Amino acid sequence: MDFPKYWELVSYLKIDNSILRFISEQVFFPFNKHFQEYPVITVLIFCVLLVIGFTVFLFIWVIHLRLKLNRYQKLKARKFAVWEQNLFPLIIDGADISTIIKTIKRSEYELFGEFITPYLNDTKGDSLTRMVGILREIGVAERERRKLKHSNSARRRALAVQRLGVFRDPNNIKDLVKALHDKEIPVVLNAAGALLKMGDPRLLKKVASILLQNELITEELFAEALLKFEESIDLESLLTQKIDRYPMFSRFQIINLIKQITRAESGPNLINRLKNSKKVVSSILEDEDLAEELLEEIIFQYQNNESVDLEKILNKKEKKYSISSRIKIIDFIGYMKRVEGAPVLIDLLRESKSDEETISLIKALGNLEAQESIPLLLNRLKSKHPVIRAQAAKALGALRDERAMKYLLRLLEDRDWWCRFHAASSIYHMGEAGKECLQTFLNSTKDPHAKGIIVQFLSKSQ
Amino acid sequence: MTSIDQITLALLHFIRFSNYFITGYFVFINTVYLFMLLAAFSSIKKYSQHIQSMEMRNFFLSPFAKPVSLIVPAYNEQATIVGSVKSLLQLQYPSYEIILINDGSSDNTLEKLIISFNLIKTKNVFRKQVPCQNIKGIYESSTYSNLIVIDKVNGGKADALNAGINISKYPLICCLDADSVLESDVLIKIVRPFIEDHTTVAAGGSIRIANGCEIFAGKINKIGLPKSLLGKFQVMEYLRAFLAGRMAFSLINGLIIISGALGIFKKNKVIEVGGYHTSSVGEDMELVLRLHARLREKKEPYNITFIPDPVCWTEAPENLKVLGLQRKRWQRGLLESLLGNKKMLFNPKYGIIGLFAYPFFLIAEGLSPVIEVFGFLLFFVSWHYNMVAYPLLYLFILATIVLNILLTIGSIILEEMTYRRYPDTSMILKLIGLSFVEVFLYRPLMVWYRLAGLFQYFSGKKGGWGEMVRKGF
Repeated sequence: MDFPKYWELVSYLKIDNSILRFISEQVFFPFNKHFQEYPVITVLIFCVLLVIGFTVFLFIWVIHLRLKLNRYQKLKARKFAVWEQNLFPLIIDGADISTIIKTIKRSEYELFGEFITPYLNDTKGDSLTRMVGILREIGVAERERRKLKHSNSARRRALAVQRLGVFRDPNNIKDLVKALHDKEIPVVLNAAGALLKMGDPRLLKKVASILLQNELITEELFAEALLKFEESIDLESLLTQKIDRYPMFSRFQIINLIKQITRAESGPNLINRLKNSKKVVSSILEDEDLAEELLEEIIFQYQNNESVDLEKILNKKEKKYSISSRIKIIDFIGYMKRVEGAPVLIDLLRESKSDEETISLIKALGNLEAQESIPLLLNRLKSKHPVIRAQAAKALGALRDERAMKYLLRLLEDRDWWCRFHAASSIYHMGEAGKECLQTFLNSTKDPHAKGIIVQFLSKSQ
Repeated sequence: MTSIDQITLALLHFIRFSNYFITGYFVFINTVYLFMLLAAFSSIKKYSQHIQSMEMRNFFLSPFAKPVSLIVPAYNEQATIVGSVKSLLQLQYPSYEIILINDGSSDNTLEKLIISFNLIKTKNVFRKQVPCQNIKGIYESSTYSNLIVIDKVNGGKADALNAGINISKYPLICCLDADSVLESDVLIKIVRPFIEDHTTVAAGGSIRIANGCEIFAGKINKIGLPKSLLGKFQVMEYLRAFLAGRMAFSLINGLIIISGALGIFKKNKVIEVGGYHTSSVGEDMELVLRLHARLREKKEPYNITFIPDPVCWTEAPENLKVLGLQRKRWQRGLLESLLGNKKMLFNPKYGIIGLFAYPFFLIAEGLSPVIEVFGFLLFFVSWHYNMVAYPLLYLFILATIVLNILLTIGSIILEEMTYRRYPDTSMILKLIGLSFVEVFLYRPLMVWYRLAGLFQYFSGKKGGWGEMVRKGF
């Protein structure tokens, strides 16, 4: 038979599809003369051309990125040298800031921000004030504040907060406190860091309380924020809070006051009147900080056009922290070896009914080497929970108290490997007496698991 | 019509439909790759911005940082092992231990370690939580308290990793290759997802090729390109695979490979699924697939993520024999992992993994050599019967080249975005230039090796591991 040629066979190349024909005739008219008959090929050619175009675009972009980077690095090297020359007289001799301001062009503000950030981080006192003065003068501080308030981009807000934190300017506190309620974690965390860098203990309590209410802040992120606070921390006040912040009588008075204001004013006037009512609210509550906090919350909701439920705000009795919140604080105290927190932790361990919290408390007390906790720890060696037994054994090891030895020896025959391991490790680290004790126990015990773990430790000293 | 004519006509119809199939396959795969590239752009941008906008410096300098056990299997690594361990000892991280497993080496790996790090044999006991071969000895260094060396009977890489898991103390385990060079801040970067999101169970890091780079005292001093063509092709391949591919899969929580050269896991989750499968040659992928399966079956929220920063530098084979053995092994491992977990294929219970990631890997990676060779043979048959539509053929070739260049340039841009750039623009131009010929020189080679790997898998042949003669860093 005479085989059909493929061109004849593949009639699909000439499909008379109305959509493809429309695209071919209307969109790809330059190809019409040659490809009108083959709309499939026309569309494919166009796709390939599109890909080629995209490839060329990416190629140009790569080269553009390279050139831009090279230019930026050259500019950076040049400008940093000039600014360094002008900055040192300013820091050391208190020279006029106008000298350095003259060298900064409008397009170089970002670059100057990058230049000055490390200096701001390492400076305090007058030098810091002078450097912040430059940023205020050239409008960088104001620009960052505007970004924080108005930008829709979480990244921009986070960076703005980060920079405002470096400036450590008390004028920014209000904006930073508002940023603590942001939906984005980087913004919240940066705002917390920025506030804590200022070193005010009142701010610490406020920041910690807001962070602990945010479920997305893990204990590690909480620690990251608190580590920015360089002053000593009042741990007791951090762990306990007032149960009833707004007594019934005060609530009634405040609601009346706010209702009067909202009836009389609206828009910006309303906000101003609310701000001005701080003195009256303070006198009702007999607490200036609490009054400010309350008004801030009310104003924040009005500004965001949220429906303001005063009863709800005032009825929000602040409860004791949840277990997960307490664990975040306990971990912080333990890991950072804040020994002043030991009495609070011992009290908590005495009362704690949560296994998770108990484990955290035992770990923390071990880290703090709190001798007063020994009776409680010995008691926890009898816990049904193997992690609690193991952690108690480990903590007792850190305390190196020989009184614990006989209790730890019992744990060498525990069914859990970690309990045996920590018990043996703790006894071994109690010095010669511990080693002798292990040797005696090795000779007397019939438990092969206990023998194994003892041999492991005793062989270290040989 | 005679019966012969009927057969011939049926053959022509078969060829015609096969042409449809091959064209469809080509369009599908490349469309997915293009989307992956775009997804990777958005994902990397988001990642870079996130890193820039939230500092974790204080945390990673504090004792809060979760301690990590580095598990490093070594088999006949005497040329590089001391340098590798020294490099690991220099990592920036508050608390970590290095567990090096000498997997029954026949050379002097153990002796070199004993002398260099003052190792002392201990009588340590351990909990055997996952299966592994007999452990002959556990050594501790009297110079470095965080270095432990295990000497065990040879059982393969997966078995050595399991031994490391049994000995490890810490809640996070980081599995590494002994011949890799790590950036000093690798642990800070790779632990971060576990800190920010407690549902993270595993994270993989980006692997780069160290050939051509200047390495001194276990650190990359200057980034360069390999001298050989084979090395350069692999650079492009790694860039595409890690920056475009894995980043895109990570975006949809569909990552099913975490490279064995650098992966970090929550230890309790690995133990829960029984550790590494010791019989598997693709142990890294196999473990990740089982983690997905287990966690999805339990309906537990979890995240398996990828870190685009280039953090681990590895020596790539620059001769055909070793490269061939390596790729055949990878192909066997891939098929073994996929077919060993076939319950996930198109199973909606496993979400994005069962419906997209698994089928895509099976089609685009597992079976692609068969499809590509079939397409190649089809061309000759079509040509014989004068059935080649030349305009389509030219378009096909053009599209293949252009798409390859596009994906390469795209990956280079992604590389620029992760702040670890090739220092000279000429290097970038070289890579782009080579992507013109890659489809003709390197790709057929890879198809061939993968096809051979596929035959080895189905015929039950084991093949070699692909050991390299190490030049040493």
